[in-house]
Amino acid sequence: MAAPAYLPQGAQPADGLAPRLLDGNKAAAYGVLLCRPDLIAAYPITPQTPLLEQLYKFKADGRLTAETVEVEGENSALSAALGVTVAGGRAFTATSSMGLTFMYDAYLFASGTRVPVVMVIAMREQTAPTTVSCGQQDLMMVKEGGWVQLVCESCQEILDSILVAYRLAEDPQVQLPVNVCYEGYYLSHLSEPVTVPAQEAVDRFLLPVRDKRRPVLGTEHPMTFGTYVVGELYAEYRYKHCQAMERAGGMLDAIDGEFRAALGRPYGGAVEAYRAEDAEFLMVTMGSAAGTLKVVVDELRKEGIAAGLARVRMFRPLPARELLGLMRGKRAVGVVDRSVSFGWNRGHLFIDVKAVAQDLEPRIPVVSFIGGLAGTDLRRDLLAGAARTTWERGRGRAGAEVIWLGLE
Amino acid sequence: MTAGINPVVRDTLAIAFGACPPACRECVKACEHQRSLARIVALDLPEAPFHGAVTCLQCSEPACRDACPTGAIAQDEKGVTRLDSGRCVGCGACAIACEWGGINFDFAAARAFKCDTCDGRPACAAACPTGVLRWVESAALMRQYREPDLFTRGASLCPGCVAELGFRMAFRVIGEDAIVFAAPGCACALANGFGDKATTRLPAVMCLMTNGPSIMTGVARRLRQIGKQTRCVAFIGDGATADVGFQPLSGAAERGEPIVYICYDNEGYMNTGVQRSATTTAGARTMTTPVGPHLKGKTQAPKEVPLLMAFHGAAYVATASIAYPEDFAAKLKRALASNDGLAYVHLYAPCYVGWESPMDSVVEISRRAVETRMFPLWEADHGRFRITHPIARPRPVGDFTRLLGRFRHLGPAELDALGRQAEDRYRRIEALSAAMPLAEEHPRQ
Repeated sequence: MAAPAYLPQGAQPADGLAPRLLDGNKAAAYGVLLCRPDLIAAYPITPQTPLLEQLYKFKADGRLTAETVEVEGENSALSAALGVTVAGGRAFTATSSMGLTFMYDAYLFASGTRVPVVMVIAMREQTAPTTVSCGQQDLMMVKEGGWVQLVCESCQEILDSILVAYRLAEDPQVQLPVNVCYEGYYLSHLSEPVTVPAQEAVDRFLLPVRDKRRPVLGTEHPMTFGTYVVGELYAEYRYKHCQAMERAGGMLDAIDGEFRAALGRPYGGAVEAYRAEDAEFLMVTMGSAAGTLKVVVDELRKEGIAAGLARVRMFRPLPARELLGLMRGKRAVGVVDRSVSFGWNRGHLFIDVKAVAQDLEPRIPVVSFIGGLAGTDLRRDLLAGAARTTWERGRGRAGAEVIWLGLE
Repeated sequence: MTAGINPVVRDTLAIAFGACPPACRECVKACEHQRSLARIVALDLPEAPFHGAVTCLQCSEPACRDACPTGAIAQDEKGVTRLDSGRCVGCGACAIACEWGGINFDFAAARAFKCDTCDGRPACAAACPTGVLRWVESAALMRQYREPDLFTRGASLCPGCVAELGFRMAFRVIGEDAIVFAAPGCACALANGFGDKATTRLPAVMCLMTNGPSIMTGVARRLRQIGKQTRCVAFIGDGATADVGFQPLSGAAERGEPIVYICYDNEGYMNTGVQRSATTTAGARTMTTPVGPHLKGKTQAPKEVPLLMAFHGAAYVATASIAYPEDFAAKLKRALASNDGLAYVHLYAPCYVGWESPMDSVVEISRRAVETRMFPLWEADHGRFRITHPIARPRPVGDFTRLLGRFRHLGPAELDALGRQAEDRYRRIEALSAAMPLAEEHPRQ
């Protein structure tokens, strides 16, 4: 068989040796396979479905030993996954959009009970109006749900983030569920060269679940999970949950270091800074649009406009300290959101960034750009326009705080 | 772990004390015939008036044994207190120690003697024409419930709650190699813990209304992966079973998850203050089906969840009532034995608060529901049906409804309709049992 065109002449695709062409869903499936889960429970929903199909293919081919449960709905998908996890196993599930909101009560149960389960969100708009197109609105519906949330820019990062997610979730200092989020179609169905690491390398980075120490449901040490709590004890649970979130945030840099040592690829911690240090103004976004914004930044730099980018990789816990550090000394910040907060009519990430920016002295303009809803392209010209607007705001030009890209 | 609170597990001579007809001496005659000297005394006191039978009550801790200076009195391995006349010196200390008149004395021989239950086949009970004396084979029943109570003694349920009773009874059969799953509702107070205190010695999961069977799916799969025999058992109310949580139960049954699901059916949302659920009986008054000029209680017939489960491919389905504890225990055993799919036990659980009846009435209500065919007792094993307690001549439905204030507003026409619903329900099960019979009666534990 001839080597695919993207590979160097003479190279053959093989695990851990050369990149292969994988879309985001397949990359996620390889990530799951490498983490050796004990159970996979999921319910099909666009655009997450091909991820499931790939996992079932692995199972049929004998590569995946996990049990699979074809549940009757998303709430049961997450519930079965967290059942395995409280009983000491490693579980995986994935969903999108209305499937995510349908499992919302189990979603809150998972975080409040501190169940270290990992779930992919192949991000999609919320109904209504009915659509299956890309957006980040589904993630925004659960951003207050107490999970750690990682947002990916590329198919390679999807695979790698699955490994990081289990490492983070199961850490005794964290014990929290983790979402790995990527945009539907732009990443779920987009094929890119992806290096699939060797199993031995992954095993060095992520210990088998039997070697993890955590409270386990069983008759050896009877315990109650999900106990009834009132008053101060409830507050204590919340306080400890928040502390675990903070530890998760503080740990990502170190885990990135472990990941680089074991698997060779560096990630920039909770926020990836791109030409940000000497920038006059900063664009902030998360997800696939960051790739386009990097191109925009490069182009503006060629014109002599000192643009920079901060890509939020960890959305929850919010990397406020890192964002504040990157914004310090800038003249303006523009935030590109693929979602909108009804009521304040701004992007969700904008709201977070604006809140963080209150600690800056002097205050600087922060602009909300809403675009890319329902799978519309966040084109280079739209994002270049957003960057120029932000640059102008930094130089004193007045204007609206929220701008709908391509709509006004 | 030792057996439960009572170390002596034995059959019982039940005496309806003081309920004999005057001048009846059938028991005494039968005893004399069997043992020459009667061990039972007919107390005939017309002036009192009192007519009763007196004999040894077979105390668990017999005072006569403790009083005997020669060791002539001892309990045998079956819990029967026996007197060895060869060692008796005729001192009478045993007769003085017994408060119940259970020791007899042969003045001619100067020896005490007493009832030995005719070695488990008492002639007196067989001869009793009125049913005042009955031989109750309680040992088998007590052996069914021999596991210790694994739940806290102080629980925040109403005194006399049948859900609490059923919960405790169920796990005295199921035992310690189990994980209990609860969901919001009254009975979860026994399982979900309170603050940093556990309410059960069993491992427990407090599930949502919407995901008990799904969490159980994950846990049960994991237990099987690591080679554990531990059973996952739910004790969850009808709201989370028939209404908001029906989907995951349906899914788990269809997938054949090896879990045991006990639904305690108090026919409504009693923990939130008595609102109707899908299983509420037609006509019943609840806070969301009140009685007024325009509404007379619930207008719909109850959803028959056990039948739905039987038509779902469940490995085992049964209805149960605490008025028939031997039947309940046998069904739990059978549910535990069915490893090849979901086992579903639907426990009838009258809520005296919500059903408007006295605190001590729930067992009688449970019994009447069976006797009037309102709640048939049946089981289905892999789609084969059997009525476990046939009711040949049902009592009129009014014998059931008059126990409950929630039906007080019903007139004769509505009662007739309720009776017809009960008949239909019973005949459906009868027809299924005839068409697809579960042939052999399973062995009692």
